[in-house]
Amino acid sequence: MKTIDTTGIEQIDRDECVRLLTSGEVGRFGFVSGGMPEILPVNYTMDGDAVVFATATGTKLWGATRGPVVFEIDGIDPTTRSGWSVVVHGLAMEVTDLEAPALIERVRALAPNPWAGGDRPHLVRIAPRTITGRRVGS
Amino acid sequence: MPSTPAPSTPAPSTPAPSTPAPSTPAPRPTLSELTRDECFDLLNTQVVGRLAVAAPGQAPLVVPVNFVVDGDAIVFRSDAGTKLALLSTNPVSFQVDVVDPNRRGGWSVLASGRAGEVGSWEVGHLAVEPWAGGDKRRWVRLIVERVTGRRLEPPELSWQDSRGYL
Repeated sequence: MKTIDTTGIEQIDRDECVRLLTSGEVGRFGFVSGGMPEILPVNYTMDGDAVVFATATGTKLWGATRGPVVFEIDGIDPTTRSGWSVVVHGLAMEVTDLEAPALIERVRALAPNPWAGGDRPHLVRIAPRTITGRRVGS
Repeated sequence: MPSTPAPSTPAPSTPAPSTPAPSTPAPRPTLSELTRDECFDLLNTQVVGRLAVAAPGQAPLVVPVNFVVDGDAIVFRSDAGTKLALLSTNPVSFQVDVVDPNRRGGWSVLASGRAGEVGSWEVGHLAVEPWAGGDKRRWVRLIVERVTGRRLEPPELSWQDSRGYL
């Protein structure tokens, strides 16, 4: 069922949001670093309804494990002036070998192959608190 | 001045493999930092960016918005909601990217600075037409103080390289 608010923005239900997330490859990881919001594109994959990405030791990892984070994907079509976005709010945790071996196995199997290459030994998993989506112009 | 010796190391001729090379090392993509001018040039190519506002103790609010670049500023429209309330009192960033899944490359620009509501007499001449409906009659200007960008360039494949073909 479509839920459309007074501004013509359609709310995308959670299941559809997860489907959109599952079909994506690059998303934007947002967190607050030194008081400033940072948004960085990352290659990701889904583990159920959790977002997983690989990273090197650095800003993303630092941001990931401190405080609430956000993950966003969208699809934008300037020709039809339409688009959608899905936003995940949650807490990010580094997946470490100390955790349940089954989880680490699963996440490593899912781990995407980052386009930028390089050594990205850390896996970050965002456990979603909320997943919401919006669509305009369609 | 002594003459520079000619390069004296002819590449050792490796015997041509009789079987296909097992693993040609994959060409590496290059990741480069963009200059401020390059960042602004790229910002100018796009019509939708992602606004991020950091409220204390919370994850940043991230929303796509239609925008234009006006000098050193990013201008967009808003209705009188959460976004507008937060952005004049909290740090604001603005992110734009283009990614190409086929080439596995792209670029990303992150701008940050001070944002505030401005009167339409100052910026109303700018063509910002939000795709979303609603009463977006308020104008916001983000004066960019810091902008960084990165470009991921996939390796070029020569025409002989079969990996260049589908």
